[in-house]
Amino acid sequence: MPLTLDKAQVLRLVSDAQTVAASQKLARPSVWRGLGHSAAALWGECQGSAVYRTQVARADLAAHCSCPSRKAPCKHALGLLLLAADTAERLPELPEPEWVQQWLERRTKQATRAQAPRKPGDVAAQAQRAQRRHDNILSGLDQLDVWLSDIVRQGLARLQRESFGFWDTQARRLVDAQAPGLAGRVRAMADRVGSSASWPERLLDDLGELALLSHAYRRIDRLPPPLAADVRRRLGINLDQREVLARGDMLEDEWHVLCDVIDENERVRSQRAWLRGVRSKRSALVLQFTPLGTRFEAALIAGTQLRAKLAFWPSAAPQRALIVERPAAPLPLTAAPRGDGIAVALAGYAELLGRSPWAGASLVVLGGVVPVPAAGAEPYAVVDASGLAMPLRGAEHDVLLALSGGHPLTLAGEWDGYALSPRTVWAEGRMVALSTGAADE
Amino acid sequence: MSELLREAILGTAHSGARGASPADGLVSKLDGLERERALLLRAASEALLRRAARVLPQRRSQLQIAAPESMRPSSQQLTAALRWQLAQDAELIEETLSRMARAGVRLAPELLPLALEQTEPALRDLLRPVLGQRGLWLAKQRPEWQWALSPGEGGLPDDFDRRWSDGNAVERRQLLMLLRKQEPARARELAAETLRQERAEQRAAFVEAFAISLSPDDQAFLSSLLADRSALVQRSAARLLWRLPGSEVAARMLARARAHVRFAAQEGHWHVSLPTEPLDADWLRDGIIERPPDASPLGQRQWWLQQLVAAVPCAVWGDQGRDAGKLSLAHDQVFVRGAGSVDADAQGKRAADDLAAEQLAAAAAGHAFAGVRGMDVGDLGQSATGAVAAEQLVAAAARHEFAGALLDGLTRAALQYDERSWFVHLWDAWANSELASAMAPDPRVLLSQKLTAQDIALRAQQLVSEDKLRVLLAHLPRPWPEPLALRVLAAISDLRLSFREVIPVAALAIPVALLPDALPLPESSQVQYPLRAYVRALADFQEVAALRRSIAAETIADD
Repeated sequence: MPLTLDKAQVLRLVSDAQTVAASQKLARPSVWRGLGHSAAALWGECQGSAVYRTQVARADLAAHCSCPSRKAPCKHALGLLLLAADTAERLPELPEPEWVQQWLERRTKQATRAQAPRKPGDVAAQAQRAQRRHDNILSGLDQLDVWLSDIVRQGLARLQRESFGFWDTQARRLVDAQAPGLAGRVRAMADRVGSSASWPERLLDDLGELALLSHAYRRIDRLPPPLAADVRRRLGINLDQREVLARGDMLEDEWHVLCDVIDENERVRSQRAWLRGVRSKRSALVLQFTPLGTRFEAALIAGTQLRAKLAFWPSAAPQRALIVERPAAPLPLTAAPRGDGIAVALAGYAELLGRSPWAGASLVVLGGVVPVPAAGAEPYAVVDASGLAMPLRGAEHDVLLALSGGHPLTLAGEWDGYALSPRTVWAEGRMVALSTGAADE
Repeated sequence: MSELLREAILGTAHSGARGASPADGLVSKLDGLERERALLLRAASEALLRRAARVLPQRRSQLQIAAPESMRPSSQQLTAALRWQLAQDAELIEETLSRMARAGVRLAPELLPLALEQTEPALRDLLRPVLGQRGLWLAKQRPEWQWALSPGEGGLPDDFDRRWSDGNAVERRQLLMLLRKQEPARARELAAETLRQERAEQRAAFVEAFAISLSPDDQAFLSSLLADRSALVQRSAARLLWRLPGSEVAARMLARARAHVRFAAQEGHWHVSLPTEPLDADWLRDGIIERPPDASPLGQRQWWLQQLVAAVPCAVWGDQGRDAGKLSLAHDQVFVRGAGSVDADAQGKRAADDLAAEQLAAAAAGHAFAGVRGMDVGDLGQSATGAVAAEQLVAAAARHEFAGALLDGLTRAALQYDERSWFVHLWDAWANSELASAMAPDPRVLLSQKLTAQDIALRAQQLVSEDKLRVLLAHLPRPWPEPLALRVLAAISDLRLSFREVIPVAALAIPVALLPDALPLPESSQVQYPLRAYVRALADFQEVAALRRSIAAETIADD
């Protein structure tokens, strides 16, 4: 069988409805010629106003097409996948044509290059660069501390009168100090001021976190290495994939993909996928970035499971991971995941924060919860069998309400100790991915 | 508010007291911190403690549970296609939703909020039957979704009164139009109460809303507006009164029309005497517009003629020469039919009640009335009464020296008074002439929208072969009857370049069952300008056709 996914999962590969609509028109045998599949790929030639050669790697559903579309996957690739999901017999097993072989070889080469260890000469230069950056960051933090103390001395109430420049200037200083993670947090504060009745409380949390990070970075040599790694990551000192492969914990498991959230800004598409290990019970966050209009390296689709080896970023509370190996094609999840009660989910998150205060949002999977609309000061929430109400982020949860119809459902989402961002719902024997959107933390 | 937060909001420079915090134990271990720094670190610790030991409230769901569904669920692909159609591109939505309703397929729950957000009344009517139990359940959760619970015709908003008093000019106008549809009498009272305070333009716009559900009940109110201080309002009111046969304005218009226009059945000729200049001030007061629109091909006097003919039902002309009493009765019947465009039969009955009982009885006995009761007023002509057929009247008008004014007037009147048997003859006259329209919208377009499938089937050859008629294809009712669909398909497949603009229309209008599985596309390498755009259009045609076919396949009714 050329494809193990069903149509619904194939459709999750794209976020824009236009491509979905267009691809459905192409999911018909009559527009294709030279269809076939091998152990590694599916391919076909699409007959439109021109002939396009379309190919898909079976292991990770990466697609390549000769059409000029900047979308990835394009409508042709998606049409091919839909066709394969629908009428598999139309894609006979055949030897790969030359153009497919060439593409697969190119991919293999690229992958090996990315994982190759760094040359020794680079290491010395890198250490020097790291020392320079460390010094740079320290002087940036000195200045940040003065800025923070001044805010607290004058009082938060005064901040409402500050313009965007007040925050932006400080953010730029932090970019210059090579601490982009902190710069991003300062910029986010500008929007926080006046955003809700409880903004001073949340802003004080943010300011406190900055102070704590600054405090921790000055003592980074004395921190246990995993916690030090968390501090560095929070400051925006990123490890590249080679280092993660060299230093991170490896874990092989059968992984359920429970959420995938795709964001697009002017330049970049990003995907945040949450996986849960069947045996290990571990949660893993796989982030992927790609220039707008190009494909993600490894397609991860909510509602699928895959056998894979993951490498976790070094951390006191490891969550972020990258996929080292995925030997087989993903399979559809046959049933809803087992959900927890809200109390269990809270305890799990408390444990995570106990290990690292800089653990961000984390995956929660709730079972038997009913959405309850906002009422007065009470926000939109989900309530479990015990009556505990977990607040939802934002106000637009009517799709969740519609899916429930007052009945309990299973829900996967991201919890950060403040509010839950619901992402994937299982109800009445179906899985529905809620429309994607940014997590605002 | 915690003490720590109070201290931070005020600022350490302005607050004496140092707030206690549950994180004090943690931070006090650090020596030598300035006060601000200690506050921030305590805040960080406190935030962590709060997030880790989050205390959630107890709540209960107050919602009832949605009833089980009896309709079939829609497939994932149909859901994806519909999401696109609802959010972006509505050209196929009518077909998709009505097919779903016929097949008993309901919307997927995740589409329901998007569906309930729709505001177009026509779209709402299409959505209602496919909402399912879940949709009805969801509609109860929000006041602005209540429309889904009412049986039809996008009811009035709950907060009508508030929006009426607070709304801007455009919004109030829309509200009044909505109310006219639902409760014409209440709309009249509301307009009467507030009209004085409105500016002239808004008053005229309000008056125009009375075209909706116009009935003899509106006559007194509209007549009172003839004395309005704005000429614009006067004119709008007068032109509506043309359509109310009991009004003095209508009687005067009928008399003027008869004085200037007469059809002589024996000769088969229209006798026309153009109104003379200068225009009588009474005519202006009764709603005649003095100057023709810019770019109108009609001179001023022919423009006045056009308005006279447009003011009275077409049936008037076929009746000429018959007994005057019966004639006016026929006239009334036609007037009323046209006025009640929403519910012609009910309006007709109501108006009939208004007629004097003895007149009704006498008329029912007479053959003229029998002709009128035939409901389709144009049939008058074919009845045994000796009245002249619409076809003959139109043909004579088209031959006349003032053909432009006569045909245009007759067309506006036929459309206004919903005289259906006239449509196809008028369409033929326009289709076979080079005459330009006296005003927008083009009568050819308006009449095309009204043609029956049979009318179209009989004219398929003409529609396809005459270049100047091809633009009308886009305005014909859909789906097209088979003879037209097959002819257009053949023309498209023959790569007739003049059909380039027809291709996207055809993709939507050809019945699904007749859509070809594949059109023979030329090899792309051989396609040169100017065929390139044509072939691209064909590829789009294929895509739309495939989508329509797949929607149709998924919504086959279980019968």
